[in-house]
Amino acid sequence: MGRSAQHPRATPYLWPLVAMGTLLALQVVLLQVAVNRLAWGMYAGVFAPAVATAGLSIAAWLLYRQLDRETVN
Amino acid sequence: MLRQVYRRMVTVIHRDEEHRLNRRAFLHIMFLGSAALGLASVPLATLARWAQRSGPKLAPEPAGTPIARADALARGESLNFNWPTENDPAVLLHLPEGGFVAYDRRCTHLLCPVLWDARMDHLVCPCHDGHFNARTGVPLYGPPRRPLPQIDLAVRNGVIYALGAGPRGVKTDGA
Repeated sequence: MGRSAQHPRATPYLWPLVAMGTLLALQVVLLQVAVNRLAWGMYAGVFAPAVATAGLSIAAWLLYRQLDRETVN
Repeated sequence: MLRQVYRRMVTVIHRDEEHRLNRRAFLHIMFLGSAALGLASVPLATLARWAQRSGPKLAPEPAGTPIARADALARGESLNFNWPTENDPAVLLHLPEGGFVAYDRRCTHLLCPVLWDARMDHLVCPCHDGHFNARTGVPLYGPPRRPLPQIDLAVRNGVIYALGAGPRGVKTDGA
């Protein structure tokens, strides 16, 4: 018998953590890219990762809002 | 709202309340981290846009330092000059087959000024008889082991310019 059958609620509640963690990791990478490009004077390449970082924050907020409603504990 | 956020954070990190570090609180912290990164990106984007619009003021194109007129130097002749400061001797060569190259004149052995020997087609250090290839700056024989630092050149409107902040050790194709 699989784990999800033994603990049916375990699997549904794992993915939000993975999703949020992935978003956060992506943001860290994008922000680092933006900072590096700024430091090297590659101004044309800073805007896109910076905006993408902000966009992922909005995605994280939407995800968090949704999860906050659904998550029991 | 800030007080609420602070209280939740404190609740999570307080040792006595450690059992409250549940999934919801963990997600909350991750979201706060994400929001912080998002906020940090705003000044970056603004700064980048501003820098792009300001353009040349922040990222100036290297205009270069004029050294000599290209037609003032016949093939096989050299010109000693100082660059980037008055205390940095350099030499400009008009190669016999055409094209210009410039090097830091200080021998990489013990810093004696090297001289252009047109007959041998070498740059020669008179102190210890070190010889350098005029096209690459690579040492040919004698004590020096490292190449002469090369200076980037550009020819614009018949004038030869030294580019960059100073000589570098890597060969260029010349101007």
